[in-house]
Amino acid sequence: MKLAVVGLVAAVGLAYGAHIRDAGYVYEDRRWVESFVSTRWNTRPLMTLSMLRARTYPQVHHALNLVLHASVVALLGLFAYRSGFSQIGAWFTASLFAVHPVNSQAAAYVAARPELFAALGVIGACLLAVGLHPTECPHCKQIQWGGMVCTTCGRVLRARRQSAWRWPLIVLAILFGLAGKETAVVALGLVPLVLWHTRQRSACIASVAGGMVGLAVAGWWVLSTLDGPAGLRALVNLGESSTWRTTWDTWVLTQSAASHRLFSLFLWPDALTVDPDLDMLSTAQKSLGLVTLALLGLVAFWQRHARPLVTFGLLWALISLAPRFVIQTPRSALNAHQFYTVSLGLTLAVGAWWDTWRQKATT
Amino acid sequence: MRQWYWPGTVWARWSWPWVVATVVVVGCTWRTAVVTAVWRDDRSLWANAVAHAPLKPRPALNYGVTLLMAGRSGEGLRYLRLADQLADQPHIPAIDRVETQRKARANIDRVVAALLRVRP
Repeated sequence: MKLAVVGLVAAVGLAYGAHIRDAGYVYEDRRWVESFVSTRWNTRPLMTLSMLRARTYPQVHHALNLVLHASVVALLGLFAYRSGFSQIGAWFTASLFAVHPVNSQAAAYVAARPELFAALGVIGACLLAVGLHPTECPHCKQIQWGGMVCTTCGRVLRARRQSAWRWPLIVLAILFGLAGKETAVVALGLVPLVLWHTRQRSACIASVAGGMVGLAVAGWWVLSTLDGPAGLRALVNLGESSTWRTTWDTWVLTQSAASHRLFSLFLWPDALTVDPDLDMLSTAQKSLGLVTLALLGLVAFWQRHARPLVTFGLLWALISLAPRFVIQTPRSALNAHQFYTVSLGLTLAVGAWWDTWRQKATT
Repeated sequence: MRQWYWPGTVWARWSWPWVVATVVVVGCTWRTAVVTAVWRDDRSLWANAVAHAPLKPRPALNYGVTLLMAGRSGEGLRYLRLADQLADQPHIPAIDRVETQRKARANIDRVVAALLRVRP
């Protein structure tokens, strides 16, 4: 296993080493470094803080991004192991996420750092949701995390009652993610998913209720500060100019096409670019994206008994994608760095599929 | 009958997932190293974007601006004019058309004025 970890570190070094040494600031990096920072304390404090602390050298910023990416990779490996993967399966999942080209935009682009903070908060909250205490399988006496199927003897386990202390820690992890970027709100869907997957059903219901209360309080506060329907419209167009508008159907089709592109790039990462031409696609082509999403949902449903971890990963991806269809940024459809949290779910699904295959081939 | 050596006959069944995992991780590492090279500076980033979306106005506009900043005024002007033309395509959303043409024309005017000052 030590050799596998050394191999993973070497692969990450090969993939990103030259970038850290040679790269400068690109695209919106300079806006953050030079002027943007002072205006973003209220919405992205972690990003603002990190920009102020390491202001001058691009190498420092690129290295910081890579450290954050590596932290997400480590937590993903630990999370995969604790949620039912074998050690080797967890290693493969973490390795795939670490070196996958779709994630390179988030790791290599300084201005995409808020996504890394958000993902760190989300995966941290999910790791805490799996539980702080392992369960011992009553049949083979192996230590298991969560409370699903024993990875050694294959029997269904009852989850051990977990400490109540994890709840404030989960809330803190989500708040950390939200301080990085508002996309960490997906944790409100992912934490119940983790609890449901690890057979902590009562905790799952409690977390859904808690999340809904939190959302209701936040929604009430936000709505009370808004100026009627126009204000709500401005909220949906978060961060965009008030003159940039789109219709719901156009936006859903555009995001579907963008999602379809990124799902394809996850499978075959050949045409990664910062600004793909989605406008030239016809409505029929864009609708194909909706078909892809429906197909992923169907595969998740179809595999729920045979490969529950694959279902879990696909549902993770779909839940992470959902807010992107609500928040409208008309001049910027879903791009690779915004796909980072979705990619966590897809990687878990692929890793789970590989792990099952490996185990079947070994026996 | 002639015997063929197919990989399945000499490789154990358990080794295939490992072969696939190795190929995937090594392939992804290589591909990521290639992709991150694009993010080295603005010029390589937007040159890559123009290559992948030759009919989209924004990459042409941004590539034009990076060329101007690199002192390649002639090429930069060519891409700015291209962006201005591409923004007129019927499928381009109005917000993109307006923004791209405003910025492209402002940059063209600025460059032409600067060139006229140097070579009246």
